[in-house]
Amino acid sequence: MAKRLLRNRTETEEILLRHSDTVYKIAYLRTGNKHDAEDIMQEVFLRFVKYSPDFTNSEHEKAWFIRTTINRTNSFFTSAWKRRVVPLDEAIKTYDEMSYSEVLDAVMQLPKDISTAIHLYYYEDMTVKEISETMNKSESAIKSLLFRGRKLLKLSLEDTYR
Amino acid sequence: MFEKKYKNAMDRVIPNQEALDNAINNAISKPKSIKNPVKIVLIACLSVSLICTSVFAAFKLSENENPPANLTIPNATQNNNLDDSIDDTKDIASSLSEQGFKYAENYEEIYESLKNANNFFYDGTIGDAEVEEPMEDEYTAPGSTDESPAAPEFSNTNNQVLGVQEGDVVKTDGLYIYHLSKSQDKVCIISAKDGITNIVSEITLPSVNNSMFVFELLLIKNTLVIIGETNSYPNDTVCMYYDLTDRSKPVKADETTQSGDYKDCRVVDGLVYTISQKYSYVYSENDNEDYTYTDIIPEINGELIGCEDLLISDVLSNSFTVITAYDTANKEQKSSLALLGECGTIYCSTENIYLVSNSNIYANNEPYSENEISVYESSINSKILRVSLNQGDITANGAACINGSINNQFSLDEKNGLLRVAATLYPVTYTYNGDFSSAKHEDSYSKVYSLDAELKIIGESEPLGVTETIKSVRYLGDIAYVVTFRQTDPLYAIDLTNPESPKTLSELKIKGFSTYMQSYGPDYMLGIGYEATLEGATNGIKLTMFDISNPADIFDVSTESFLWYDGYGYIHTEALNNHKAVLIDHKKGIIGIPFATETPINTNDWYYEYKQAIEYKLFNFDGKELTVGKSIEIPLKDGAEYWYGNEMRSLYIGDYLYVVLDSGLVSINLSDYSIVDTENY
Repeated sequence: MAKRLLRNRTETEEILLRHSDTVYKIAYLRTGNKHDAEDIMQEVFLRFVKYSPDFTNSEHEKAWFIRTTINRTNSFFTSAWKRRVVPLDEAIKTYDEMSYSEVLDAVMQLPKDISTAIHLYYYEDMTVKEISETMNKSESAIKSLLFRGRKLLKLSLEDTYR
Repeated sequence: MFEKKYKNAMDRVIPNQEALDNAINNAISKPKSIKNPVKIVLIACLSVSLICTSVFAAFKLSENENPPANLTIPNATQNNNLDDSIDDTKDIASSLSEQGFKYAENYEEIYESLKNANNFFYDGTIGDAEVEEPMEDEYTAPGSTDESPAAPEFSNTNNQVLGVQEGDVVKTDGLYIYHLSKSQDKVCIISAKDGITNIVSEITLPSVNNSMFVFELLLIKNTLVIIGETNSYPNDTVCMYYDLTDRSKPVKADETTQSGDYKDCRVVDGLVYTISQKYSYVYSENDNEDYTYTDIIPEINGELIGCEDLLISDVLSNSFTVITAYDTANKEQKSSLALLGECGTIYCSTENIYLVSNSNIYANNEPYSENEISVYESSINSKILRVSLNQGDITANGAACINGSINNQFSLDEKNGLLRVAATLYPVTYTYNGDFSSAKHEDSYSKVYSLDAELKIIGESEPLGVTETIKSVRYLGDIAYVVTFRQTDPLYAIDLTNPESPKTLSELKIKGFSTYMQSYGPDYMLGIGYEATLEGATNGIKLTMFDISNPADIFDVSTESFLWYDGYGYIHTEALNNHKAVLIDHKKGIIGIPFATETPINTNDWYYEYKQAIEYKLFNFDGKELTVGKSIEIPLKDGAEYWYGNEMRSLYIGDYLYVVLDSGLVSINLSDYSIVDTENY
């Protein structure tokens, strides 16, 4: 059973702010829109305060936030709430026109596991080993995800890729 | 460049400031009291176990200075009354029940446990456990020629244990090379004679239509096993068995599936053991949902695994480790076993598979109280489950709990029925005051444990490498070589001849550290790893040859270093963490390792353009010096991704070396290093 650590308000705020960007980006990538991303971010923060886990080092701390975000977006997809039929206009991914990017759009169209691996590798600069530990898959599987992702991206970004 | 564009785009994805502030405030000001009744029960259990362990501590008379390594589960170990813990659905070995394992009584039990696990939610693991490729601990044995008497001597996959085959992307029987090309979604069967190669046939894989990932091959006489994983929910691990009687027309003879992501495989005596990991999420907010057991219980070939093969433990988990045994001689699935618990590391001897949990359990040692504040000295523990192979009738027959976390499969070794384990301990003292605790992390250190046939710890080494962590381990006979590192690399030689008292024979401190070690003949050991500065910052790759002829006085004979940003922009080798990429044959004098390099060629303020290359290096060792004998640049296909999808391997057949890339292979004459033939797919 993991022990809960006593942290004061300042410490907690500091930690949440430190990882808010990371959490939001992964949540956005996996849910496809900023409203759901904000909801997930809230859920992750709540869980952090509730369980207040102890970390052995800063990598462990970051990995916790990434893993929790991934897990919460999993439950998000399978929960009854999400499975009900959603009207089309709510389901459309909302993009801020200014920040629209073909490359980002292409990544977000990929299957969730693949886009997450791509994000952790290219944006978070994690190694295959670190990604495999965070996503609970073998290194072989992560390599396959990355390879498959690059292949699919190449197809959908023929002109902008390289 | 994709990376730059993606980074730029993602940089702009940031949370709305107001939403962020709200999220933080909501989280912090939410009442912290635990409403979930399950949590209350868990805390009650904790209090009960506190009382029991204090009572136990009071009665314990003799103490050694090391904290007891077993997780103190009250009741089971302290009374010698095993009747309490025998499950009435199936008999169970006493060490299994002592460690909190039992067979499930019904699927409902599993459902409740999954729900509890999801409520409790484990944080991320410490992340030390990792599946690495095994290597033999004696000299690499040349391949057996019992199947093809005409085949010249050839190299096998670099297996950890003699007699236990591991999966890989390349296999050979001395006459043919079987190669899984992930980029081409096919397996090529290539005849190889005197260095001349010809593609004889190809098996197109289901991954060609994106429905599967294919990972590796196994070769058992005339059967080729292709192992993959479906990539849509629910993920299944698939083993495809091909008949190779006619190499030009391989025919699929059988196919088996089991729930979960593919984890690993082994072959012993013609029996294929496949291990997968299945995640099942059960959310209490979905209580009105209709969950069928097919959503959450693992399946073998489409049928739910029975409770008599389903182990549950006292550690909450939302994943199953599933093992199946397939008999290639009789072409049938012989047995299966699933454990509700995540598996970090897998080690397989010729008799047993050992599953080591991810290390996220904390042991309560001797708690003591001062002024209503309880103090626990704890550490991360790893549970080990032993599954006996039993010629394909797999049975869980023992369990242990080790204080510490395991680096990879090379940390374990079974000899004469006894298990040796090397682990790094992370002691921490918690001061517990009601709901919360504060933590004081102590210096980490490592130990080598000996366990007897009942998996009881009978011996421990002294603490090794205080403040450091294990980077690599290799057991050669009765000596355990352990590398720990934080700033320098002490390489320890631990004598396990007397398992009850492991003795440190020598300690060698050098810069950098090895991540992988393999013997080179009886007198030497090669370490592959990182160079580092005196301050402990890694700055390159190195190969070191150690003289181990006298384990009481080991020393480094010679080192070949490849520093980053010194000639090479960046150099990497898969050999750092994948022993299958290493080809070592002492008798033939081969040390072959593939390297990937990235050299900047056009730098400006914004980014580097770099040239990527693959160099295969053959090293020579004459007893005094380790040198690069030959460096062969392998031409890359245009636009090929060379880091991944280009897993490089090498093997020899007779006097020819074959360097295998994902998109083809190259054969090289070992006497003059000339390139004889190439295949490109």
